[in-house]
Amino acid sequence: MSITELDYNLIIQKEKEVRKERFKRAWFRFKKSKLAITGLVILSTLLIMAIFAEYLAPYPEHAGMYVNFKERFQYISTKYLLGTDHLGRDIFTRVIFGFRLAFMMIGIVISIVMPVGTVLGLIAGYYKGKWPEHIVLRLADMFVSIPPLILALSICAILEPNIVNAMIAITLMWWPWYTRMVYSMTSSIRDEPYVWAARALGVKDRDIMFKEILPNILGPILTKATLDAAWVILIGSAISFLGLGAQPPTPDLGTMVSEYMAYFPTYWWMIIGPALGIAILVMAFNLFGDGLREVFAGD
Amino acid sequence: MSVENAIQTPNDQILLKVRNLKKYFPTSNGVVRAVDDVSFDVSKEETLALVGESGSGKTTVANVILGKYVADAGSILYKGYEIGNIPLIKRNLLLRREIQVVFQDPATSLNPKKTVKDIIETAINIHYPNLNKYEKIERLLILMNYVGLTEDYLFKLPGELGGGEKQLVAIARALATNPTCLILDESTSNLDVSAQSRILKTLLRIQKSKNLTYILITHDLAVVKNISHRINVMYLGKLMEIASVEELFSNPLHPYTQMLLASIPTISEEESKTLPKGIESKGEIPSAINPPSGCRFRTRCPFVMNICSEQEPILNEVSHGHYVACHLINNMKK
Repeated sequence: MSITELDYNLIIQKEKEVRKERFKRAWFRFKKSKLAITGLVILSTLLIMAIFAEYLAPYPEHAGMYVNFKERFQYISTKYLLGTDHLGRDIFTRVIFGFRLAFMMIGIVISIVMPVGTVLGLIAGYYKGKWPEHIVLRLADMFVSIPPLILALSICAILEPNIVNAMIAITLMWWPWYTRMVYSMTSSIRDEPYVWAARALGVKDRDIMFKEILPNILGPILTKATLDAAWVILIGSAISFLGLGAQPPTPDLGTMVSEYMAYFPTYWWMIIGPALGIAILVMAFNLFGDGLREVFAGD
Repeated sequence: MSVENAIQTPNDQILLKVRNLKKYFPTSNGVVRAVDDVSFDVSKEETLALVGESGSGKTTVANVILGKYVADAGSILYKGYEIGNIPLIKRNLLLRREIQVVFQDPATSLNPKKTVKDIIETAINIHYPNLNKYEKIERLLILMNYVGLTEDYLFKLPGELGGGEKQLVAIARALATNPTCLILDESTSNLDVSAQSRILKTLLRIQKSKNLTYILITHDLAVVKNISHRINVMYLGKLMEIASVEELFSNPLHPYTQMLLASIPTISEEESKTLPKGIESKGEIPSAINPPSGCRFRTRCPFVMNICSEQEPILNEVSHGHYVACHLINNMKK
């Protein structure tokens, strides 16, 4: 038997087809859940709105420093879909820009926390009983022992209160949870026969971690990431609400809720926009995460 | 250290020499003496079966040879080189290539997220990194063909395969390194009977054409009878009897061996006649934390004597290549 280029290409072609087929099946499992699809639709709508905020928002200039006292405290109308605030800015516009900020925050926090937490967890779990485990786990314990919100608040209080420092605070409090989850999964998989078979073959430790163990725990990690996205918004909003996160006039949903609270209940509609925005975003992420869990559970 | 150089040692026919091997596991209840002073040889191109009940230490012996555990005492000489004190992670590729393993449970011995192609390719990539992509695929297809899997299986995930097919993939992966010695750790015991016979036939065929040495760990004596050349009977971390298959089945000497043979289920009268008349099995294997004094089998032995609790029997050669550790047999010989 000798392999020609043609045979080889046929095999590679077949491999691609099989992969496509597997992806289709995963999508089918996701599609079965109406709620997951709802979550996905809401998320993509909000994401598109956030990306094209300048073009979609009726008054893009209202997102920043803008004052128009003539139009302040306007009730919900066709001109101002969610009314205007105490400085006469369109709340609908500000909520759309708030989504942009929320997505940015989620993106940055998750894209730092997930890889860092995962790699540290893999190392700690794989070298169970050796010094890397002790260092990583004790470090994680240190962060976990302080209540998350208190930790985030104290970091924000030490640093200057702004959106970047709020993200730093959330990132710092978040990674140990990933590390601990990945650690516990890794330390149970590291003694599976297929990992021993890989060791017997001479697969490098790094390849065992990333090619043998990681694909088997990727499902729970991604699911946790989507569910965590909702938490990032909530914690971020909480920090902002307490005045330690984004500062006015930044159109942050949490900051807006905190600002507009001062005019409640006289101008009660002001708070509806940003509060509903947070609720919808959190719910959409949770629905999407549940759908993902279904997809990975079927594997 | 080159393993190849060792082939010229005088004991040419012996591949693996295990001497006074001990492996203890400390637990909260005491020290488990999983393997306690075991010595045996494995010749080239033979199938040596390690037989015994669960807890007899046969898998631990295999794991020490594989390097999963390091021996607490004693030595394991592979082609003349000491390997018992080298853990798997410290072994070089050349040594890892020589000794490969097929595990018991086919469901967990293959990575559930990798296709058959990826699984076997991993082994080829490590041990034949210089092949080009065509040669690698060719080698992969040859290996699959060799164990009897068609091209249709290339992109299947382990979850889509039957137990026997999974085990064939595991065998192909082990063969990918071109090993000399294959440890079969209960490789057929989790399979149904038809899959079992398919695997056994494949193993026999491969052994003949590749001149492989098998170390077969099992509690299934029917399997042993079919494919092995010599049998080591283990009980509570000790060797009880060593004999060739014919000798052991026609003339089992140790009471424990007789008990094991009597426990092979038979259906017809004729079939039961082909097996030696054994003794009824009684009791359970005692704990390895606090094994019985003297002969470890004495608590279950129907022929127990006074000396059995006082003195530990040593392995004596009763006839050529047939060793027994039993006071009763030794007395009869005198």
